[in-house]
Amino acid sequence: MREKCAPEVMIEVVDLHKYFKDLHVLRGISTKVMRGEVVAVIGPSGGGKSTFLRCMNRLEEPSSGHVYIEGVDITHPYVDVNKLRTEIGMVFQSFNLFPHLTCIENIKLAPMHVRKVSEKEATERGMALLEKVGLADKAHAYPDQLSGGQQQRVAIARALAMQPQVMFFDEPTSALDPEMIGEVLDVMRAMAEEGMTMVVVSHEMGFIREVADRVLFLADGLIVEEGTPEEIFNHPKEQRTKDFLSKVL
Amino acid sequence: MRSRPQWSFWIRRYEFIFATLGLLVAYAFFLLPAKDASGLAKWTALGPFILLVLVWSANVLADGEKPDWFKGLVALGLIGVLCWLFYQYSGTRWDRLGSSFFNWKKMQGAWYILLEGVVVTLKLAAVSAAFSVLIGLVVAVLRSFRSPTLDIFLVAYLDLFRSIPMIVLMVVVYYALPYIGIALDSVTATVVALSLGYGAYAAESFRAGIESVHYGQVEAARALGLTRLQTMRLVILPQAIKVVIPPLTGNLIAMLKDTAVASIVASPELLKRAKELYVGKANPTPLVAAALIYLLILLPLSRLANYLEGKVNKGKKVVSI
Repeated sequence: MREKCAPEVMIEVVDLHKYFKDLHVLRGISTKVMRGEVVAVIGPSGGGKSTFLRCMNRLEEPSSGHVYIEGVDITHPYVDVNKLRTEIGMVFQSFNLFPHLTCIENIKLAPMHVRKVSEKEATERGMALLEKVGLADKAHAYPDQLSGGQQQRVAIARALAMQPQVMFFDEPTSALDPEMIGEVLDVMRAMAEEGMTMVVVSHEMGFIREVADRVLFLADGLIVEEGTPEEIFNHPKEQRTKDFLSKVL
Repeated sequence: MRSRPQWSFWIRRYEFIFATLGLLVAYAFFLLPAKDASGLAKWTALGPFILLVLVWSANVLADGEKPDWFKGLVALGLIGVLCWLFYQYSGTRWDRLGSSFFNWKKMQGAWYILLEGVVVTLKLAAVSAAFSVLIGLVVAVLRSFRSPTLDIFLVAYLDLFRSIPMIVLMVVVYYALPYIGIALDSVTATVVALSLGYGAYAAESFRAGIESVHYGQVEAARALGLTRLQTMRLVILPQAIKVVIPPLTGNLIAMLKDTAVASIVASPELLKRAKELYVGKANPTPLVAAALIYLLILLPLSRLANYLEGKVNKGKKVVSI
């Protein structure tokens, strides 16, 4: 079991709204993520899960409301978005590795150009991360030479190379063949055990039940219900949650 | 093995094709007019013959079932017949060809002057190419920021310079601008006109390349904390360049050809020199020589552009009807 630090608020979301033109995607989301906590976000597609995640690192601009990360209001217009994003690692459904760079080059790109780490140090750290995700032998392979599961593990290593305070996962296993899901979830499980703060949008209910500290059920742009995996999966209170779970479990 | 139908349409049968070919040969022997026949008599005989030859060839060439060697033979024959008809009936004074077009004696001392022109042409092209690529890159990168205010100016530039014919642009820059105090010498005027004109085309090539990169790449780069310019330089452009190179090469070849337009603003490039020699020697051989030199320079470049395009499209499925 990982050690829990003293409860400390890492992310605080206050009444977050997001419109796409006339479409009201997020209708007032408020929640907190503690340091070291693993929060899973589940819910039907189109319910705003991805948008919620993307609003928290301003890949989408929130329409109204506030997001505080370590006390800094990132919705403030004067906030340095680039600096903010260095503190947040993001893993995408479609991996989005840079196809013109090898794995190790993918990993060391941001540390070298954003954090201004020397090439030698970035390479060393990158190799250590590749070792950690079990792909040290693929350091000089290009992304299209790797399987989906391997690409996603490299993408995780790339995000970790910036030494972020928190990691966002946007359906990290949804684009993978079934036999490759396990290897990615193993890497994520290891990160959770090391105490990384994680927000995970996923449909892998077994993984969430095992790893998550808290589950948010998001539907129609609202947090319909939240609680521990035990509460959500075994004793859901809301009818909307029961309907959803009866379909996916 | 493709299964063949048991019968084929009558106009596609070899019996019909060779029978009609025989008729065409007979037509050629007995009905074609004399070399010096006058207008009406010539065309009443010649017109139907050309029409029949074209229809007959089209019938064979459009037939997917005929073997390629047969169609190749027919195509060669068609070209041969058309050339022969032109030779016979166009009224060209073939006896003058050698002394007018290929009178190499007249070129004594002229080759060196043409060579000077080639050097000027290549210099003009190289400098304008560098500027137009630079302009294109900057405009395309600025456009990718999708700023509505900035876009007004950029789109105005693109529309303006892609709409004005190069020859007009050059004349305006060289002959009109001095009236408002901007007097450029002919070489500078040429470079300015070519750079601005082809900068607009280069910008479009770069934009197509930048837009060919998946938006997920931008998101991943931005999520890592890279700035917009870093994302452009480190992630987008290295991927876009593959798509940009072929059309850009095409643009630059077109630009090299358009350097000839500079002869009207008195840039001492190849065509200008050739025209001076043509007047001085009272013989068009220098013009033919210039045409050959352009061909010699541009043919390999066109092949290069084709080759680059093929490299990018490798593995792409091509529709054949």
